[in-house]
Amino acid sequence: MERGKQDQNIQWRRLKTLVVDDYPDFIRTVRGMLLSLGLVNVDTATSGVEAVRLMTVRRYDIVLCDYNLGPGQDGQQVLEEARHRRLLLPTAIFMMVTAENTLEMIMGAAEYEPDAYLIKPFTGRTLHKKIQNLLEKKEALKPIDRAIRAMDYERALGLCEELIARRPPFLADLLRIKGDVLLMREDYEGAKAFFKEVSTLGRLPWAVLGLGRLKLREGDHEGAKRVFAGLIAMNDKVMPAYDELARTMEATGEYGEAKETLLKATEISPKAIKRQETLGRVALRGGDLATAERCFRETVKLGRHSCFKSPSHYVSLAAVLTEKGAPEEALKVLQNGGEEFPRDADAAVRLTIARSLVYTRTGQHDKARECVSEALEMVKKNPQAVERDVTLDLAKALMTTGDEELGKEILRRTVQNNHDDAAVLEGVKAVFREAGREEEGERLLEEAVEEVVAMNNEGVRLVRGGDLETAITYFAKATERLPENKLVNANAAYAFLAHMKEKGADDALIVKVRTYLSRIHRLDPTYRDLPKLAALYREITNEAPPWTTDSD
Amino acid sequence: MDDRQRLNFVDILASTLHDTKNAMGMVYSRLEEMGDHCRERGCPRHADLLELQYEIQRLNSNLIRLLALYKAERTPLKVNCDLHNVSDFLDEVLDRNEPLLARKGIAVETDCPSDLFRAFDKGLVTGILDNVLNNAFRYAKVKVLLAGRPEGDGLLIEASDDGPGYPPRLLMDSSREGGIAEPSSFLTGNTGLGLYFALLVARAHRRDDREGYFRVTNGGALGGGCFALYLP
Repeated sequence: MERGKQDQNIQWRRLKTLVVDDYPDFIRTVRGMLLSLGLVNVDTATSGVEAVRLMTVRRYDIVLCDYNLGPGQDGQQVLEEARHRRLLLPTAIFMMVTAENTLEMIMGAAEYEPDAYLIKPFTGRTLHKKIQNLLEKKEALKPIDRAIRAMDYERALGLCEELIARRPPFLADLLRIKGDVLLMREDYEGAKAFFKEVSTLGRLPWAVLGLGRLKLREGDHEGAKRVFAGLIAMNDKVMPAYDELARTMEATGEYGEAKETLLKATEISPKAIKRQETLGRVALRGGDLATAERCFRETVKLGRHSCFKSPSHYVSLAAVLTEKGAPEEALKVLQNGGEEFPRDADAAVRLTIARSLVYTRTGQHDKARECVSEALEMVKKNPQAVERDVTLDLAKALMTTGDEELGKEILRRTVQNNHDDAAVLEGVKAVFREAGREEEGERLLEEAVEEVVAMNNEGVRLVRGGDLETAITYFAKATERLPENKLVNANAAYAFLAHMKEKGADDALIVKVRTYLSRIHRLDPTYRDLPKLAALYREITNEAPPWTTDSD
Repeated sequence: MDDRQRLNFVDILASTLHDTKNAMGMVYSRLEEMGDHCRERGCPRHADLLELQYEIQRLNSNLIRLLALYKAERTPLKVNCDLHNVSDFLDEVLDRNEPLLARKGIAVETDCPSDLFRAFDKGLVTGILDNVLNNAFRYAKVKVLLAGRPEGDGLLIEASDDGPGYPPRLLMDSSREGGIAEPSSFLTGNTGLGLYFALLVARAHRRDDREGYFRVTNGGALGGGCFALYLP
């Protein structure tokens, strides 16, 4: 074959491949093609469940998965689960096989896109070329990916530019990545100039999208709306444009318009579960119970075979049903939810709290109280398993069923762990407002925030004063008191790193810093100061930051 | 039946077309398998299957275009542009069409600089080129050339063959005023419909104040028919 020369870089024999289709005929054909390309490790699966099971025990380099897999999971859901649960290495390629008629339906359906679509029927030659191109691309992008994950944006940018100058076949991907990196390193002027520059190549949807997002950042909501709407008018398959447009409309209070926009998007791509959920929320906000109900039902249905299934879908549906005057059905939905999430402490708490709210709405206060104490017991037994935002629900249920002191204590804790997160603080205020105690809420909020700020300031004063020994002792204690507070953890990490910069690296201190950095990254991977802290960490330890080492 | 319950005939037609097109795709891939099977066993009728496949592919692309035209009539044709490597794109088109052509003894080649990148709607342009190559199955003798090259900051794609060329009524230049005949005069048959589709797609590719166009000429790189598509 004429391509023999280029192939030398790829060791086909070593590649582990998985072929997924419910048609044995098709599997046989593709398997034959792969074997003739020189691949020897070719596994096959005839259902999504089987495919996922195989991926948990073997690290595949290539997955060829048909979209339509009969009943159960479809190809998109297999992809989502594989990437979400990190069953595939970042360098692995996932190709979605579809008949032409379904391509439109599944493209851009979700946040996880396959590396390529293969349209049936295809030849061995097409397959060969696609695999070869993708492997070369993944290999070339590897160092960029690594730099991005380590938040070393300078390096990522340098690597991008180096590759762009060589104009490889995947130039389009590189340009897109460069735009992302510019945004990540918060170089908004640079990003704007770059998006404008690439727009001279033609109307590239991601560049237009980037320009719209920058307008939004500048607070120009009207301008951003024009950009997103213009993009959709030209290019109706750019699903993120619908999401951004709806988000902008929501921010300016146009719930009806936001709803219409998302309705159009769900028509084009009906299977994206997160978008359905957002649409339900927006519809509810605008008072359209019927649409909200339909969307939440859809999320429950779509979730059945999806790794994005969530108890919150059942909770939302139950809330709408209660609102609409069908509490019996709401309780039934919550019960079904319980069956869908067995042995899941977090789900059990959420669903139990939701039940208490249904009872409160229908005046069955004893039952509501019962549910709340049940939920409390569960939280006490298993505090680690319960996610952060459950606390707001729990506090709300406590406030409405009578145990106010405990409710307030939980809210105080929530505020202190999230004192700089406007959305959480707004949520806390709303709980007080709904209980008719707005002023009390304001007071509690103010005191709680003040305490955290004072605590931080004292630590920062110690660092600035150069008394690093005292500062690290102080912050070690502070992080024990508020382990979930990002600012406290960030300042602690900084104090420890500054200490080591002066006195030299120390394994015991590095362990601590890793804990702080991992916590911040877990709570908010986009936390403002993370790149700076990561750079300092790298400088002192010569290592990549802790969150990058679990997958590579 | 009152008027609101009455379905629009055009919609029924479109949905039936859709279904037919999908069935056709199925038939095509089954035929492909059967053809391979026959060839391996040296069955003398395998050439008949080839003819069938050609017809199915022709009908299938007819239907795809009809559906695109149906959509285009309701809302302006949406152009989903992205930046593509032209050489890779032409190779993909070639890969899909080559098996059929090769079995009839027609060789297809591409000629394009490997570092040429342009923004265009891959799906729509593929539709045009598939149609042109499908025609080549009937008219080319032994060779088809698919070439891409820069034209300023735009793109020129040329598909030429060594056949007898296009009949005079189909020779046209959509960039010139009056360069294109009344659609009714060429809208019969596969090629005509294909050209009408090409016209819509070319014009929908717009940048600043330029728009795409195509030319149908004879002579060309291989002495036969030549279809040239310009995209700004």
